[in-house]
Amino acid sequence: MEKSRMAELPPELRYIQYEHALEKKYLPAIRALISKDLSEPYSIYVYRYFLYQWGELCFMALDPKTDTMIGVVVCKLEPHQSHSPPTLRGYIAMLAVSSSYRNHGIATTLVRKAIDAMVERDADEVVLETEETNIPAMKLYERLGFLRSKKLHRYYLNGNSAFRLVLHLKRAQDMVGDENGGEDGLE
Amino acid sequence: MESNGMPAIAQQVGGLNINDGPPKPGPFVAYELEPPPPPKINNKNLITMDVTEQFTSAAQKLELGELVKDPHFTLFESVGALEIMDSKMDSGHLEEGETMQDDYDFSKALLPEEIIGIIDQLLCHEMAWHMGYPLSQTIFTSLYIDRLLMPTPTSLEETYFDRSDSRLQKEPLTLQILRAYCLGLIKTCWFVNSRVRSEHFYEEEDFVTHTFNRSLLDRVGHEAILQLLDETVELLSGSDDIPREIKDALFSRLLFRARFLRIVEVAASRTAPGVKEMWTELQSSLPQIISSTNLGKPVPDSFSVKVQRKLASTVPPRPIVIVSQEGAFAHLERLCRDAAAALDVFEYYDSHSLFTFVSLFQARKPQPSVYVRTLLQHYLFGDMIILGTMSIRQVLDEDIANFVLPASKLLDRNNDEVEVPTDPRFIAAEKMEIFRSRAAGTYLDILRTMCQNRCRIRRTLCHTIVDWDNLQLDAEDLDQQLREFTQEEPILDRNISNEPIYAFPLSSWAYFYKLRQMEWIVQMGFELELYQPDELAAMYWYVQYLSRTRLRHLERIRTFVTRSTSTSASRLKDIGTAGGLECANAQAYNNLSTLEASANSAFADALSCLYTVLDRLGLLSKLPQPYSDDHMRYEVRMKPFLGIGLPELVPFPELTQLVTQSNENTLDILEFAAESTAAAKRALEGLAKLNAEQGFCRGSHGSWVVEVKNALKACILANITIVTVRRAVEAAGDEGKVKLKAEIPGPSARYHDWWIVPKVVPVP
Repeated sequence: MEKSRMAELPPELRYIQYEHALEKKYLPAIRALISKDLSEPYSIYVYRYFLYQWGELCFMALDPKTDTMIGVVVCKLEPHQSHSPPTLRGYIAMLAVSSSYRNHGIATTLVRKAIDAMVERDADEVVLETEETNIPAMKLYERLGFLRSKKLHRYYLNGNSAFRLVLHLKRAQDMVGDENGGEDGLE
Repeated sequence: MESNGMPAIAQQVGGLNINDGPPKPGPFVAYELEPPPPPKINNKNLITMDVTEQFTSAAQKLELGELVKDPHFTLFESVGALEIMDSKMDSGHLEEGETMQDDYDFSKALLPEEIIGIIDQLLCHEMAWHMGYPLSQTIFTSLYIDRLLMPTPTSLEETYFDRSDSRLQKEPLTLQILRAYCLGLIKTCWFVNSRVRSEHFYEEEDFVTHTFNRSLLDRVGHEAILQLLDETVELLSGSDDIPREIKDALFSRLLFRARFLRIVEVAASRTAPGVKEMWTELQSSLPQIISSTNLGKPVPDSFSVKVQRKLASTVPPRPIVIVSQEGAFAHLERLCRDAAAALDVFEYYDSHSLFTFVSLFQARKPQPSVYVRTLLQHYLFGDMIILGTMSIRQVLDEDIANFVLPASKLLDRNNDEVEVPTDPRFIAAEKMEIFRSRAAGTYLDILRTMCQNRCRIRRTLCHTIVDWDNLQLDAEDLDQQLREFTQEEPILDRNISNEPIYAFPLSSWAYFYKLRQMEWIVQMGFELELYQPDELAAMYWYVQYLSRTRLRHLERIRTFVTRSTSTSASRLKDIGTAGGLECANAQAYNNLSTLEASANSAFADALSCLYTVLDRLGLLSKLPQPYSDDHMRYEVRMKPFLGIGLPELVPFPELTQLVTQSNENTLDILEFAAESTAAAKRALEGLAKLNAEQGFCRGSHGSWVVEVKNALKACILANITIVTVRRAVEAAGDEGKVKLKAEIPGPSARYHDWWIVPKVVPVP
């Protein structure tokens, strides 16, 4: 079974960074791919909320021949402060890979590209939630160094709980809190 | 909201409270017939004008495809936005041929078997609601329930299912049974919902109290419903055209509903007698229902997903939640059992036993349901009177007296009577009151937190740990000031310190609870499966570090308590006095906590060493870290403790050294681990032998012993595992490969949630 799947995979996928000019061309496919894994679809505004503000943190995997959407990751990056000193926090909001192309490291490549883009933008940390039963997703992130920081009871509509996963990109003392540097971060 | 988690937002949006106040039939009648009228603007300060032209001209200035985003348009708004004509978002969108509402004939006669079928399905829905699903996807999907609730009835007269002319004739018995049952069901839900709502819980996460603008029979008294249930029972017993078996099944269901309704009406009372027996009776009535479920004939078309379109909700109909009959009855049985057990909390002995009771009760598996947990909260804290009889001060003072300040004049109530502001007793009373006002919340928060779901318990403990740190600092100041009143003689011992040493009783008390809470935070991480295999050595090292710190602290407290007791011994010749009892309790509690901390530290030490060895042998999966390193991961893990002053966070390089023990030989580490399990075993056996008084678990001794014995089993298993590893290491010699495989067991494969003993098996 694995072999036949392997055969389907194009020799080299095309990974591209999203930009607003691509909305018409790719947004419908992004929505279609992500909606497959959701019990309830997000409205167009949810996609625009992320893609309009953080398009450069969205990456797509395409079949080079057919231009078919095979995978996508959608993120954001903004200052965060709740119970602790402020950080510039990246958040991986959506990640999807077409089911027949899974287990080939496409999701990992997408996530790495997103994290790389966050690192370039001086992010302090990256967080996300994943369903407790989604072992492949948990493994993917844990192989990138994420730790489970807390468990969230009945987080999803289906009644399943989630784990919050956290990856620090810097030592706590070096975290800046916002894009302009952390001079007045703590007070 | 934390980190703007998408699913959490989606849930909140789903539960958006459009209008859940008192029912206003007007707009909803309009909704069912025609679109609502435009709003009436009566305010004369409001001037309306047509902006179409401005809007069009502004829009024309935009490039094609250009987006405009209001800075206040947040993720929350975007998730809440709907796309009209998308059937998954637009609740009014109909597929071709689909009708808005169901066309159900309520005058249709039902077989008695069908009544059983509907009732049993409703029970499944009721339990699904108790499990945390919304009414809209459970009970409210019943067309009969919908019929009862819309329009909102004000009396039983308005609850007939059949509203055609034929209803002037007598209601068939089958429908009366169903109606009485449904009324009882909804009223039961009303009581449950009111209870949950008035306590601390997490909407959506724990329970959905949202009623979608439906009234759960607010305006129909429960007595009238009970009376109808009784009358229906009587009517049923008089009827002879229903087969005996079916009749009995219907009986048991009506009686069950009346019982359940009677209980939820009194369950929150802290004085009503016989509530425990009522829960037990309800539980024992279940087998009769369970054994007759096979007689029921389902009526699937009397449930519809479409009812949700009539509810005040922003989201389109979601699927009906399916809970199996076995699942529903199991939940209900547990609910009865747990609710009966929760009442034991009223048998109060001492504050320490109360904490043990609540902690063990909440650790039951599965955890007691939300309704039972909110009942317990109410018993504990209702009207800020602890268990309905004690002031917060009483419990707090007792806790302090039975641990750090036995027979102390600081806690003497007579100090409060002194009215002369210069009198030292007046000043002491004032300072103690300052302490109480700061400590009470933090102290009771432990109990309150324990009433939440397991995930929330740990999260909340992480957030509130800093309160204990602050309280300890505040208390140090007060301790110093209070010395003027106590005239405390310090310990002068050059061997320990050049400075005089004082007791610092209040801050000692706070430090103790802070240490306990820190231990719980780390230990619950094991339970909730937060740690990866390569973290376990360090996390168990931290448990032993905290327990060992607690041991030293207990020793310090013991020194001062013994000292003050011996100096006041002449006053307390008679052990029967209150002061004498406090002294005995303080000693006993210190003994218990010492034994328990010894067990914890020795066991944790053993496991930490074992995991260090497994790590060294390459038997634990070590994940790559392309973006971070162990130091950064340590900071993620220890985040709750980063702001804590005492005990200091162990710096990462030091921790690494202490955990990896790189200078130690593997066999020596294993030897030490084996000795530690032996020490832990002795301590746990000691604990298991304590009686309820010595264990400060009065009211929950049975479950306390089970808990200790589970830890003991885990400890024995750990010892066997260590021996297995040692033999394999010895067999491999210096250069050879150790022929072992290690697995980390999941929660169901452990003797104790907090003690993860690796499963080590030989490989060829």
